[in-house]
Amino acid sequence: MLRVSDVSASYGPIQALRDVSLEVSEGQIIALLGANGAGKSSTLKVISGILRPSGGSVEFLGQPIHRRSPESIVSLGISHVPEGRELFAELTVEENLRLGAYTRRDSAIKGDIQRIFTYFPLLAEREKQPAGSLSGGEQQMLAIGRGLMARPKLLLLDEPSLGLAPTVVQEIFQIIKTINREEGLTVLLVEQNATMALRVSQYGYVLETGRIALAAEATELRENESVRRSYLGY
Amino acid sequence: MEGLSQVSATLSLPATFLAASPPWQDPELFFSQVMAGLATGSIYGLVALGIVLIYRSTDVLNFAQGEMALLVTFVGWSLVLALGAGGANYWLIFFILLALAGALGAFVERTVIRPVEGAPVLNAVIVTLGLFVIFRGLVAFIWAQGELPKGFPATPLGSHLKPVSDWINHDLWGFARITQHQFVVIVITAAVMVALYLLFNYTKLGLAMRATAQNPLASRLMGINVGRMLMLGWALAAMVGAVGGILVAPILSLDLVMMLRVILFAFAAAVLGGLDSPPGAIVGGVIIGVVQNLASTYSFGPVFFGPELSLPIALLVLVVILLVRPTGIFGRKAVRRV
Repeated sequence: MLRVSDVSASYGPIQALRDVSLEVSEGQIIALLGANGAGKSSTLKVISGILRPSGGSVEFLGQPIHRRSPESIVSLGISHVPEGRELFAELTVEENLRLGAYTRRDSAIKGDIQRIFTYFPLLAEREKQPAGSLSGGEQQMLAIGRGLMARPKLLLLDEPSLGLAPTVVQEIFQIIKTINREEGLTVLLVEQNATMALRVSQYGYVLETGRIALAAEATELRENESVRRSYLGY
Repeated sequence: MEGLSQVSATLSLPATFLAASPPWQDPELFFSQVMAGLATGSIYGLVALGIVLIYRSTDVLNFAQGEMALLVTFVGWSLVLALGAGGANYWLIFFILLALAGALGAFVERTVIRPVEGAPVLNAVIVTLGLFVIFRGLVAFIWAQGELPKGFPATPLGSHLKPVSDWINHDLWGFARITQHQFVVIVITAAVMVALYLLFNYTKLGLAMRATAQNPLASRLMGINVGRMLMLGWALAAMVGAVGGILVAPILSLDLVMMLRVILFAFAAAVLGGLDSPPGAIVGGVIIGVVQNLASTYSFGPVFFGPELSLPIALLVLVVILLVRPTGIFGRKAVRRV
């Protein structure tokens, strides 16, 4: 479904990615692991079109997308839930969700908002509140819900566990898994919390200083000595 | 005290410079002055609204806001000379000018503002100051070499509303007298506010414009064309400012310095309202307009400021309000994420 081939990218003089290649097949949850600054978020930014790669290519459903604008990539079916959530803090929960469906022209948007509320019932109670007034966990749920409103085929999730209590993290991962199973949504998941990420995913990549250092089945990565020492902490 | 009354008694001021009798003795004069203040305040507010629309979407203070309106109004003058402003022509010209202002705003954003986007704020400030000089120069070059225009037409809306305006002209609630044009200024300002309110709160485009103003990165991720939204924001601001110019031209005379007499108060109004609040801009404009009018009419105890000091007094009120509410009446507290 998604094929990233030999992608390099940099922020000014600082090279963030070197020849990164990875593949995501339909219906899977793929984990992208690595330390701070390893290039996880940069990889997602290249895919969603916010960061122009200096080399390599990105293909989605057989089409090259690395020269497209973020707007057109959203309409192709890739939703990016960015690091730090990036909600519209002064707009209401409902307005945030409507903006998630900005590229859509159909009439099912209202119904989809209700569907998001069934996944995240806490949001339903806060429908008319500004997003900035929500708790950290609720904000993450809203960010994911907003991403889902575009009806994506592929969801890019950047650090959904960041700064959240363990029980909330568990809840959010549970919902991601449910949506993946029930709707066949494909997910590319960036995480520092490797334990959690490898529990829900089928396959994983490990990034180190901008390069792919390791790629294997999730179960295999969990057994891998160096992954365990560096990312799992046991 | 004795000395002071002595002084005011011996100074032979012309009649118009004398303070009016207090409001409780002449309520009609008081309310008439308030209505006149509402009208001039509405114009300050419209120009301020343009400043606010640009500031909240691009963080740029557009010092050329007044001169852009001046250019459009002068084009309007040429159209009036060519077509005549009678009957439906006034509205034809009015809407041509709106379209022209929109195009001008969009063009300015595209060509000179976009390159300094993301540069230090001062760069954008210098660019808009440059635009100020350019538009002034352009107007002077094209129009001010011959005879300056006299008598820019007022909207015919007043005469269309004959029954209403008759009633308005004679006595409003038995209290105030206002001119047709003042009444129309207030009505059009209210209409602009309602139109913007509907746009921002009830349309997808308005929602996208608000989203872009708040978080451009997230807006791009939603599939919003952020560049187009900023361009539309400038177009809208220029249109609102142009309405201010068209409405003020019949009151002040249309000349090179016309908007200078408005822009200072428009900036004051924008700051007073909170700089990022569209209703705040109008409320700020109205407060300054009304204070200015009352200060030039009444004496405060033994002190009569007169028309000369009415402007400093209006700005003094601004300073006092900012002492109490540093972010303006409707301004948000500056919250920065760390």
